[in-house]
Amino acid sequence: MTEYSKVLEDLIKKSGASVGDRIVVSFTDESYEGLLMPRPEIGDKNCLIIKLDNGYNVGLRYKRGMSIKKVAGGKANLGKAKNISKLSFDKKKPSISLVATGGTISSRVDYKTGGVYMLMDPDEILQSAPELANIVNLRSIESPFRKASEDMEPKDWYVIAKAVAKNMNNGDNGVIVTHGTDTLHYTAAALSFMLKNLYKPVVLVGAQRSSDRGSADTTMNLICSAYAAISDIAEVSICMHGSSSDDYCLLNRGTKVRKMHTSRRDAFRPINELPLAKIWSDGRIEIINKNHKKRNNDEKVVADTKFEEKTALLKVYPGSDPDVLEYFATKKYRGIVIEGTGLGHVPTQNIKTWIPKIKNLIRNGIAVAVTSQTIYGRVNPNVYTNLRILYHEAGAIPCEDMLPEVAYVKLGWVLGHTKDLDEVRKIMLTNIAGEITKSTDFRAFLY
Amino acid sequence: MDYKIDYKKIGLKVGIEIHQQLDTRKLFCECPSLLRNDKPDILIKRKLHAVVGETGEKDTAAQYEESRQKIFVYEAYSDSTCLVELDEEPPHTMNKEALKIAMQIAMLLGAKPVDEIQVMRKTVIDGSNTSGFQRTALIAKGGAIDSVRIPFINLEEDAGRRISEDESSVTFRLDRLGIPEVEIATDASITSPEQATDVAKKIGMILRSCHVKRGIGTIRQDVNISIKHGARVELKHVQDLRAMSKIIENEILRQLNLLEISDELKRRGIKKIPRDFVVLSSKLEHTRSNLLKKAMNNGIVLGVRLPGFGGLVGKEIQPNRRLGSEFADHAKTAGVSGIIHSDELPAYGITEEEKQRIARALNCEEKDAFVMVVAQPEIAKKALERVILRAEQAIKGVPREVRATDGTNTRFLRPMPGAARLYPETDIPPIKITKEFLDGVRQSLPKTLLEREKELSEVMPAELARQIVHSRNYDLFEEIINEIKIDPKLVATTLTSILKDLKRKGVKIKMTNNDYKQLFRFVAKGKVSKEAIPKIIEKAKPGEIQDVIKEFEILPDGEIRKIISNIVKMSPEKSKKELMGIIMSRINGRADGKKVMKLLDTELKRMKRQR
Repeated sequence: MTEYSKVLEDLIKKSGASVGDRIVVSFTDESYEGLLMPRPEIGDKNCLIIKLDNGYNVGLRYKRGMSIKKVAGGKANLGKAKNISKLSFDKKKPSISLVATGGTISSRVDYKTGGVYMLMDPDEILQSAPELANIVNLRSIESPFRKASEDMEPKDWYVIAKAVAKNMNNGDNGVIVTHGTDTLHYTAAALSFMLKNLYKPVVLVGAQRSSDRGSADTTMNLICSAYAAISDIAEVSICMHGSSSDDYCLLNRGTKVRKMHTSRRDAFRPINELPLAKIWSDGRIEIINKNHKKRNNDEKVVADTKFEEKTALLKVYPGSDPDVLEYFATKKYRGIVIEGTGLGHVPTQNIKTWIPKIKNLIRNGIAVAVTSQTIYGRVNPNVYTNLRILYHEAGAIPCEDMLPEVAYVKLGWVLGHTKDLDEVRKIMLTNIAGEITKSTDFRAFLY
Repeated sequence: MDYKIDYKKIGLKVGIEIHQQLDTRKLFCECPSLLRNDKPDILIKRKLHAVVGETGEKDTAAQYEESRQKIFVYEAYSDSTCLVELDEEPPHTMNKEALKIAMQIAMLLGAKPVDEIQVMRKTVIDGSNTSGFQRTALIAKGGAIDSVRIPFINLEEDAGRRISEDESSVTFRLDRLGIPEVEIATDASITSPEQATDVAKKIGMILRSCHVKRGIGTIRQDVNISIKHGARVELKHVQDLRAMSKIIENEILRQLNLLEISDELKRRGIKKIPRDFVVLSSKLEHTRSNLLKKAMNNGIVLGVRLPGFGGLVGKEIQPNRRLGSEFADHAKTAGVSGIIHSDELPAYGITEEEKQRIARALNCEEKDAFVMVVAQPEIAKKALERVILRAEQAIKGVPREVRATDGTNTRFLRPMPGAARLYPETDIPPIKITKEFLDGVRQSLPKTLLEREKELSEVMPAELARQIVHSRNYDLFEEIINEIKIDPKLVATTLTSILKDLKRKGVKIKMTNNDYKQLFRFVAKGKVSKEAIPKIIEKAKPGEIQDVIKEFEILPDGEIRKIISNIVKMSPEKSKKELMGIIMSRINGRADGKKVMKLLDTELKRMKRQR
């Protein structure tokens, strides 16, 4: 369990000590006293880790003559936070609910071992932002599952969509979904399509810094999300830092936002559209994009979670082999989104041309949609000959200014409702949830 | 305060903690360790939050800082800071060169390296680290200086540089954040202020033997002090070693006096202090105190009675610092500029009559004192609450706290942080200390300055050897004698006493390290006499060293003979000694004295023969 090498495991076993116990480690010429720590995943398994009384962890390599003696039992629940006081909320404040799904925002570091805990009480999330009690009445907190966002699957979106719809129809003013950041924009897109007749805010929020550090972005992200959840902006949106400073969050439409940086707080940027609003931590909301639905508390939302999971997203590149398409065909895929180059190209005139294979897929009833790996901008079916071949001759669907990830989610959702390729094409090219903007704001690039 | 304190009797325990910057790039990114004073082009504003620590409780020091609700402004440079310092990217792997230097220092202190290093996060919430913690790692254990043990040696990242502070924000510059530094802490077995200074000096000598940064701010000494019945107090940034023992003495004095005050308060039966705040503005409506009048324009006067504190608030506990000064330190953290207490009145234009009126309004009795502040109501109340907390500590004795030095005195900085503040830095895997690495460190181990001093005293007077290894120019000295075949004694004399003499004469020396090397290369080749060295240094201007050296290049023998024969002809009546003086001043260092003497002898003999 402690993941040490055999010799160390044996010594530990012989001493009767387990992780967290106070031990003395003796060598022929010296000895160390401290708490036995579990072995970190990486590093030398032949090195015993103890936490000295000054708080430092050090590694002691096994040597002949090494002995371990347990001197005192450790405290149970090593390093887990105790005394988590529940926040009490004012019933007179606008009610919202929270759906916690995992990710950095709901993970904690075990302060002794350094291990990251995913399974934490949703109440603990609120410890990061006790200010929420001044803003909203958090009526319900539920956690349908705990997953890092890279592990999420379409199935998880259905669960979130249903949980959101249930709470919303229970009379909440809005719902906050806490989520890992890696695929936050996929989930945001999925909810955008799946939550039909939505007239209240659904705010997705995550954290780029874990809450064990003083510099965590969680606090402001949650506070701004709460303000967004009680605002009149009735959209599925992502609310995360707008700049590297702790000054405001950007509220971005769920279908027009992408994680654009691995680690910065302000990683989530609007793509091909201005953000919906800036939300300051004191509650000020500056509407930037008036093109959004307004709140209507009388409407009921419906979770329409039909989704074709045999949908794929792939990328072409110089030297890419179109044979991969055959793999998807044999695996009975029903739809493929290709991240093309530039205006929406695939290799066309060279030996590894993708055109015949694409034609073949479409002939066999598989939908092929194309977006651009430039991320910004709109694909175009006409400008070059090669584009005309792909879209007019082969019959691929040019996905306007949709993000590749959004096109993937949308295609899966459309195929969940119809397999008729003409119908699929029609819906793919119709704006459903703000994923297609007919005219692009000049200021939206690199916002 | 002339009496000599018996340190043994009062149970004095002192420990020293030294932080020394290493001369490498940053510890967890590739940015240069470069302090800058030009205008930063990046400005980021952040807030930090106290986090639930290991015990599940928020750390006291952390909470304390959070209660101040400051905005932290971070200044950075796009060309010498990166996302790591801005806490926008995980740390890179640890700088190998820094680890090597730190390990050299550890070995020179006789410490034993650990087998595997685990970088830890030490919670710091004063804003000086963008992440909210400082990365630190224990690298070696069990060193010593003389009889004083150095239990642990750590390698850690330096904090951001505090630039300015106002009521709502503190500004830090990130140029310093991440510079590697070694932390060397002795145990508390030092028993006198003099010993503390001595140990600090010796550690300093070892540090300077290695590749560490030099100059102001690159080394910091903190001192931990406690006496029997007192409490451990950490004095931050004891910069000047010459002042160290005086600072320690003053701190001892402070603790002794606080203990006396505590005894007296107990004698007077004081147990706690009621928080009965009274607005006194109306009692001071017609005051002639400019200080009050000004402050009352946008605030109220709030006062509180301190039962039994009469005469004690004004008691001097360090030269020129009273118990009232301690109260003021605490009040200031709430945002007031200071306090006024009864023991110092009448003063600041406040009359005896006004003092009595205030005392009555606060229901003060004879042995009571009072404290008042002028500020916005909220701030005033917070300030007085902090004064009361400090006053209650005075009943108990000496509070455990971190103090800043202020001349040879100290003032309150923050409460002592709790112990449970370290947890593993999960972004950096454990670092295995291999035998190969340690062999490399051992092979590259520099000689300590003490060893060098001993070696050098074989080729120069012992006093000169001592001077040069202690000199700021020591590194330059070593470079010169390594690169140029020249008498070390001449180089040492030049870099110590000759420079000192020139400075005493008021000469502004403009020589760069390279200029010195040029100069000594000419001396080594015999093209410049050693007599010319001070003259060249005096005349040197940046970039013109070549020209200056040319001016003083040694004259060919024929030239010297000509000068000698002219002078001898002109003043045949002069003695040889007098002649030598005139000749040397004419030659102006452009010939070696011995040679001139020889040529003069020949000339004189020749003249004699002619006569």
